Amino acid sequence: MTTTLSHQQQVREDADRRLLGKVVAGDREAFRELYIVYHRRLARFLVRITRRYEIAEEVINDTMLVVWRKAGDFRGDSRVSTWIMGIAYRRALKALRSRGHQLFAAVPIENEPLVAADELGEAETGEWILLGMQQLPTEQRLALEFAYGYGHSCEEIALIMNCPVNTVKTRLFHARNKLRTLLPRLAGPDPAS
Amino acid sequence: MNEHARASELLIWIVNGRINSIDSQWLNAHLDGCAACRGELAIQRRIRDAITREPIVEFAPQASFNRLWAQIEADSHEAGPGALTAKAIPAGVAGRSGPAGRVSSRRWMRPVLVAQAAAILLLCAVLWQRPAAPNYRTVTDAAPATQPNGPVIKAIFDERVRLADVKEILAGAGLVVATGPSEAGVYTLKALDSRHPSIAAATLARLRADPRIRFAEVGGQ
Repeated sequence: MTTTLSHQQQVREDADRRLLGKVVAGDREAFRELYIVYHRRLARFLVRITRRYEIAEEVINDTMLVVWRKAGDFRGDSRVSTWIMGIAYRRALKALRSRGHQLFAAVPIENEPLVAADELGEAETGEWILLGMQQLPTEQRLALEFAYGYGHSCEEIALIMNCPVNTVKTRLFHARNKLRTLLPRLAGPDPAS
Repeated sequence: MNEHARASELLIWIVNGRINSIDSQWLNAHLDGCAACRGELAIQRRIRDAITREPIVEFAPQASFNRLWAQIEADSHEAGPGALTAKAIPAGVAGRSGPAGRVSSRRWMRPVLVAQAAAILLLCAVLWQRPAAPNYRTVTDAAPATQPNGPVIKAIFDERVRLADVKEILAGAGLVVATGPSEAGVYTLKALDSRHPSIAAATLARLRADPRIRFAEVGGQ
């Protein structure tokens, strides 16, 4: 279903591997560079799933501490970003669980579908979409984040989330359907009609 | 699986650029003749755009990195010399190690360790025979590095903090600088009153609550 990296993704992967190789040798500057790159990448999705900046920060530093300590264990059979994202995913779940499940569960806001008004601009529409995504179960939301936010393939998402490929497909299927229900004006005509 | 269902499953991978060439060819042919799936494609692109939009929150990665590095450095002090850099070479990034590489590294390590032990013994013998250092200090002698006996706090001050602020913070908390700053900007602080070297939790809380301090943690000596 999914395939090789784009040129841009390959360039990024090569750069990540070079940095990680230096991190293994204890190169502080390389670690700082890798940290800055991944701080930006991780912060976006961690703030969304934790909804708390300080928790996101904590998870980022927990994740990068593991990267510093375990860089030598990276086997190279996946992308560096898949490896780091997998660590962040597990750390985020742990952080959320340790604070109780109230942040972990989807928060229903109302039964009515979220409707984006026609006159809303792209930014507002984006906000509506993100609000709709918050209604999704966490695993479905994260599968979408990994696919769209980070360009991971179905197989890579399965690695990150430590689940079978078919589970990822199912999560994405339900996420799409639920978003379609929550955001009816974003949805096109029913393909079956 | 009907054509629409198959297209629907593949859309996500064409939007994120991870579709393979065979599926891409089939999907593009389907999209040419299916307005509904083209509409769905547009929706998926809007969802991707919403997800990839940068957050409003401003991040300060350098400050966060400084906090993490201070923690790593504090941990390495506890773990002993070399802990900061002693790591295994990974198979994935170096391409020249793995189990075989580690076995060979153990092979050359043995004579190195023997030589190191001999050097330590020699050093001990020299120190044993050397007269003890005088128990006084002249005015031209450099001040000895302070080695705190009690608990210490590792702290990083904000870059904008002035010397007067540092003095005020330390005086307010009843602390003095024992050593520092390190390469990562970490100061080791100890209790001002050497007769009562313990550091109260309230002192640590006070430092953490001060916006002029980025990081404060009880550290090893």
